[in-house]
Amino acid sequence: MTGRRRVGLAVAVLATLLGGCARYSLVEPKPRTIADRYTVDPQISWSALTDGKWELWTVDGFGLESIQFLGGLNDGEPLFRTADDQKRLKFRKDMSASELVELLVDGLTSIGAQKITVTNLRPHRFGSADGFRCELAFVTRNGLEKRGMAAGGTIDGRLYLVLYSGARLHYYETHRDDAERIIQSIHMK
Amino acid sequence: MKTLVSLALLTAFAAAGCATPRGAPGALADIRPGQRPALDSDEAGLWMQMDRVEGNLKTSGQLITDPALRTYLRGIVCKLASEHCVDIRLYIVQTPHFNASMAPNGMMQVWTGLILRADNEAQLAYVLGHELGHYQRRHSVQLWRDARTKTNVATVFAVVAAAAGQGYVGSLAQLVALGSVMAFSRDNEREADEIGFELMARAGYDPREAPKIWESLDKERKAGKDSEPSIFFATHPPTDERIETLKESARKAYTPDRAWTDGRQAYLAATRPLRATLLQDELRRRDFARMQVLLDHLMAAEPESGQLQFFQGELYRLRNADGDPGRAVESYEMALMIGGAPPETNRALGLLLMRLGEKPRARAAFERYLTDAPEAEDKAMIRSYLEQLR
Amino acid sequence: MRMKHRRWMWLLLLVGLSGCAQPSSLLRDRNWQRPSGTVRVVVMPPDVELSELTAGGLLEPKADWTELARQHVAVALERQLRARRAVVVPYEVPSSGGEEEAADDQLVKLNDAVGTAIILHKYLPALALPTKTDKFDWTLGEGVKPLQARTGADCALFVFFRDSYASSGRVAMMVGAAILGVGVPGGRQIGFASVVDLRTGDIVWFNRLVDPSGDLRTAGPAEKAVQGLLTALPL
Repeated sequence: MTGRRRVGLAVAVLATLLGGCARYSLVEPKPRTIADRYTVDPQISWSALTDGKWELWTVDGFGLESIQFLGGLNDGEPLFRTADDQKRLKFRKDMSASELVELLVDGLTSIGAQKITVTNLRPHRFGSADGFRCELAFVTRNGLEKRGMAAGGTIDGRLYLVLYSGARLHYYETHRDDAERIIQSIHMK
Repeated sequence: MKTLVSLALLTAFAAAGCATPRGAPGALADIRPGQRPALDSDEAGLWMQMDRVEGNLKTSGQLITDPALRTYLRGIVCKLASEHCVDIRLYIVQTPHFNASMAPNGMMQVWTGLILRADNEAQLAYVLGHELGHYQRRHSVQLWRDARTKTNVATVFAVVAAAAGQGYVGSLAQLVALGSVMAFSRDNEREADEIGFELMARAGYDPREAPKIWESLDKERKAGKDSEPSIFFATHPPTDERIETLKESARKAYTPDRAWTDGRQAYLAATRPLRATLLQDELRRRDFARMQVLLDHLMAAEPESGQLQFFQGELYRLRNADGDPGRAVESYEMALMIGGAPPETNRALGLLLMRLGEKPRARAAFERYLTDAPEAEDKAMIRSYLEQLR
Repeated sequence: MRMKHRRWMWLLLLVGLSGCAQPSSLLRDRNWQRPSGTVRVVVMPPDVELSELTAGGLLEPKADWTELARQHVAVALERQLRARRAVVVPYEVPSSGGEEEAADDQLVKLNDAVGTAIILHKYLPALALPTKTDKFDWTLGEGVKPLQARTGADCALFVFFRDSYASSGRVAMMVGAAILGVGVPGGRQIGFASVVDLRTGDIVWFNRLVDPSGDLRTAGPAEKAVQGLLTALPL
């Protein structure tokens, strides 16, 4: 987690401890709308959290595996909000898939990922857009090796992305098939 | 980088035959080869932390382990450190930031940002000799002791611990914000400069090379964005006086009758295979003003390099200011004309031409890319661009 | 093992504030069958670090304190396990080269991530995962196989301690504490232990130290801390 996100979490936790409500909601294995734009079939149950334009699901904890949905990034915005936003690569609505991958790599770099490699970049129909799919490998700033897969596309000038990642040891594999089916199940509203 | 691991905590480490402490009265004695601090000493705490950091560093996945490069660099270190070479463990850390450091426990780091920027062996030797100087005089122990007496400032340990495991710029800002804690004093810097200079000259490296690395670093620093802090400058405050002093020392030390070397050929041979990777890392920093200074410096020494022209094109493409797309196209085309440009040049050219609506030229570029790199990881995507451009 | 100073500070704070109604130890399966006969347990090097809280509010790791605590913890661990008639297999750094060491290191990093997830989602009610309601099924997976093959152990025990001792009455102001205006008393001890079944990689048992047990630099309290941590250890 980014420093900022960590602070946000701590404050939120403190607030909820005082307020008494839980933070994660349950996602059941039935069709669910993401960002009011498309539906997916979750396949299994997930614990879900929302953070700005991102919706994050996990089974075992975000440090272990997670599937993240980006709901409509606007032209001129970076992928993740961090302390050094100003310097980061920003989304442009005329970006090719290759450039969207550069955006993804820059975003991951901004939250501490290292040794990022992208493989098997290929075209993929994302909803109504000519989007892309790729696989990823990277290392967290604590040195834990992770694997990932991404799918994305630009629809009406806004970027939609699905990123599934997990620890190379055990956790990525555990829900990889579920993530694949979720990506295949994307259906525009 | 797994870590802008451990800041320049340099500890003294005795140079050959020099057991009497120099410098101010009450200064710590030079470290002797094989010496370890007593377990209940405050210095032991520092070593313990450095041992931890070293453990993390070894498994960080951030190290360059190429045997040829390691052997080459270690050779330089041992030439400078002589019989203390056995106490030193050298780590090459992949990160675009300029730094070299030596920890009290003998852990020496060379960051690839430094390797990219040194013109030759002599300049690298001077920087490593400078760090050996800090180690020899145990300046870091002094730093750390001073830090403990200050309030409202995180200890070196807390900073180091935060750094160990941090690799991205965000943490740099935190670390450098504590710059007052981390900076060596002017006296310390002067001492380390003297020793670095001595060591390099003794090893036969042309002393006139020493001030040059500071000059080019300084130039880059002035061009770089203020928001980007430099670990190296946080710990080694830049002064104009330093460069003048080094030039003066070089004038005195350089005797034309001796066969000085700058080791440029050996340096290029050893480091050239890594340069594309290091320039790619540099690009990811997205500090284009600073990178332009670096590229200008590299291109001045090598005007006919297709590789450097490619990276110039990448700089323009990613900076994307007014007129940059056109400049980028020109750079890529020049790179292709000169030769020695990587296959990605045609892909980058194709992407830009596609964006600019130049379909036939884009197609030609993508086709050349696929010819040069038929097994590229993005071949399926490039083929789909070719379809779209039909 | 590395120290993530800042992150553990957050955990200390969150854990300290989370109040009651938490489990102490967690067992994967009430019916977990401990291996018949003698159980061989490889004790991973305890990840211990002790710091001093100085007058200036600085947290300063101390080598000699840490070394003392590590020794006491290691001795106490061994004693606790022998009392249960388990065979202790000491952990040895693999000598055959970097790959095995790196593999072990990834395992330790994974265990750390799992331990964090367990503390966040099982010991802090506000962060409970709906997918883990009434479930305790975390695992390290097949990555434990090389460790199992090398040591011949049935289980691995991972132990983690962080503690700090105030050298004066001054208390460190943590960001979170500042938000709440709450002063966190000095001496923030956090400990957890996990037992991993090396046949499956499953975390079969996890425990978090709830009551700070005193000064880990001395044998008595260290023994007590380890004893407390290993309460209900199913071995």
